[in-house]
Amino acid sequence: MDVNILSMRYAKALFQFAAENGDEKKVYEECQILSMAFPEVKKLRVTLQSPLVSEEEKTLLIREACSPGGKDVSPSFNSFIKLVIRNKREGYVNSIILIYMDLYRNSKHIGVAKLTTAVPVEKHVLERISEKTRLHLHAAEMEFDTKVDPRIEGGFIFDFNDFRIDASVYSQLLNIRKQLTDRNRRIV
Amino acid sequence: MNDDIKVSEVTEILHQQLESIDSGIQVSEIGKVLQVSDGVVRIYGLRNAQANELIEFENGEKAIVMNLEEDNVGAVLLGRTDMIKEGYIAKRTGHIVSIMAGESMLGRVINPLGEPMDGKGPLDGGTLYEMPLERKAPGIIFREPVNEPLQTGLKAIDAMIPIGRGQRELIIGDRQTGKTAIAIDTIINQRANYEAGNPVYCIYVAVGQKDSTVAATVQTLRKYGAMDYTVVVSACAADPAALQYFAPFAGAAVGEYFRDTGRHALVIYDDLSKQAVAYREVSLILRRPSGREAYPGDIFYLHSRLLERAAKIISQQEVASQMNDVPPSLKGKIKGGGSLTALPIIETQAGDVTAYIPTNVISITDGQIFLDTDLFNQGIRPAINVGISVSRVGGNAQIKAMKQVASSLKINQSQYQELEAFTKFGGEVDPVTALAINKGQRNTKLLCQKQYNPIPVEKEIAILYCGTHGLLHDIPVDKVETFEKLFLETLELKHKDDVLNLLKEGTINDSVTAILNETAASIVKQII
Ligand SMILES: Nc1ncnc2c1ncn2[C@@H]1O[C@H](COP(=O)(O)OP(=O)(O)OP(=O)(O)O)[C@@H](O)[C@H]1O
Ligand SMILES: [Mg+2]
Repeated sequence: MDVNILSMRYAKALFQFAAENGDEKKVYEECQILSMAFPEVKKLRVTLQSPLVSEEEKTLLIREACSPGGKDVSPSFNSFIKLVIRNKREGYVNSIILIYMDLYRNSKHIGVAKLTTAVPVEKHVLERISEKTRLHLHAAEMEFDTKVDPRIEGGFIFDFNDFRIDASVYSQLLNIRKQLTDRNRRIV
Repeated sequence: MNDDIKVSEVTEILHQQLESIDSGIQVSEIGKVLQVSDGVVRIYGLRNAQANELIEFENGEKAIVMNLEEDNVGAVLLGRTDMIKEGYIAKRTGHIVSIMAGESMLGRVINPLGEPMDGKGPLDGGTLYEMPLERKAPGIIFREPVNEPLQTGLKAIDAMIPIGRGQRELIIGDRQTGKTAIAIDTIINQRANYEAGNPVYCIYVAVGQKDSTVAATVQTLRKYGAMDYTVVVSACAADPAALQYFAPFAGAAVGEYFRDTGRHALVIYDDLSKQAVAYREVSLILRRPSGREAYPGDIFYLHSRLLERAAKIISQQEVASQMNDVPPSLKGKIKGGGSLTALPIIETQAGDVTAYIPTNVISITDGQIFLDTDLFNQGIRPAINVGISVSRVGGNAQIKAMKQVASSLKINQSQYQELEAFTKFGGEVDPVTALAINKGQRNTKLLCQKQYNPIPVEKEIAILYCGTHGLLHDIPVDKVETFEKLFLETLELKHKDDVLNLLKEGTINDSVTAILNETAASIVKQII
């Protein structure tokens, strides 16, 4: 079945269910942690889809991934994990939680932003940027994240919702290199 | 760059280039790679992406958006799968896949994205125009009926299955039956037009062929001076399926550049069977529902929209300039009267034209040239099966003299091929049948032609005149080739003005036929 339709249905169901139980915020936080685990731990997806791993182990694995020791998982999310695994839809967990996070943010008007810089930025500057972005996105609340990555050399990369302003020195140099090689390409 | 270039010059060039570098910072829309497998990526985000938009990953690899869904997009990679990892950021470029086309492409080998593959550096000199790979075909009012011939230089085709400019004629046959050979000879035959200053630009699209085969083809074209007016678009067997799928569209886009600027172009898709297979691969990986022979449901549309782009554009400038779906780069530059002729090639398995892809393409095109393995093995080359080969529109485009001379040839040849089958059983034949067979045998021989040896239309008419008027009746079949050679040499030497030039213009009158009869008779005498 289509990845998108399927994930959408599960995500919507989870959202309604969590809202009824009043723990949609907790579920959202768990989704956030889990969504970070997927790109970081490459084996997570493979293991989840493996027929050799038992259902119990998979359940434990997901719970462990979103809360240390797997103890403190919200009841709604717990049921969700069980349902997904029982229906053999483990492979879709990643996209389901991403859609869930979008649904949650939309309903609560939360904007997300992430600023990547080469050196740390002062707190009051960050606050101002965050406030400006919030106004720009018409959001009620902002999730503002920062990252210091010396590899970008200088400048900044600013991601907000689905957009990115890339003013890093690294990308600009890359861009110059690309334009130069495009012009002087020589395939031998 | 040459080896003897001075360092200071390089510095100067780089300086200039640095000045023109665009380092503007833009806001771009991004998404995250959810999954990557077998040349297809699924990206979460990119909500405003358009179908067929080019997207770029942080490491510079590119992909094309194929599936648009509510929250994610499916895209096919134009590079290697292992270069993309989960969690990578993908960026919209805002560009629909396109190719930069222009005069400087002539003589070059490029990939479907317009990047040169022949190690001769960038395309330089002249302006390049951005032509989208997917573009709507011109509407009915911007077209004109096919009325100008496209000479292939092959006697059998120009006489019996004539092709007009703007036509789509399918070349179909099993493997190794001379399909490519017909296409290449047709390209080589356009040399005369190029020299006369009225070129038919040729685009040869190689899909899924071996690199070495493409290199050999380019070598051949270069040897016969055909690269001066030819562009080769190549997506070889080792390229990702997406590139192979786009190659014919790239060829069409380059052809359209010539067509819409009022010139004539010929595009050869060698071959669409391989493109269909590449498209099937992409579709299956994108999990689109599959149909007959596992091809996706829109495989017919794939070929029909590609082939519809071959057209003869109306010569009324006022109308032509209003053409639909003109890319922004060509706005105001449209000229009427141009044409794009397409020669798609399809490979059949064991002569089965009723398979899915062959029937599709047969129904889309304006006729087909069917090549037969048996004929090929009997030494009848080009191995055209006259009985089931047709050209539905090219007849109107045949020059007058050719029409007069060759009108009965096709029917006679088909009849002969049947009669011949009967006489294989032995037994007596009546004199009429014997005569038909005698003529058929000689004409069959006459229609054979060596590779890389296209001949101008006036000579085709002259020699076919001898065949259809039974002037070869008395010479043995194995001397037909000698006759042809001597006959054409004599005409070239003695009757250039009073025969060949007249025939070229399409006139055939009593004095011309008298000379033809006379020359033929004298040569027959010489041979026997
Ligand atoms: N008119 C001809 N006279 C003599 N030989 C020919 C002629 N046409 C083609 N051949 C030879 O037949 C062989 C097959 O020709 P060609 O490569 O054009 O066939 P094809 O149908 O394109 O093959 P493939 O299926 O491999 O693409 C070649 O070796 C070519 O030299
Ligand atoms: Mg071939």
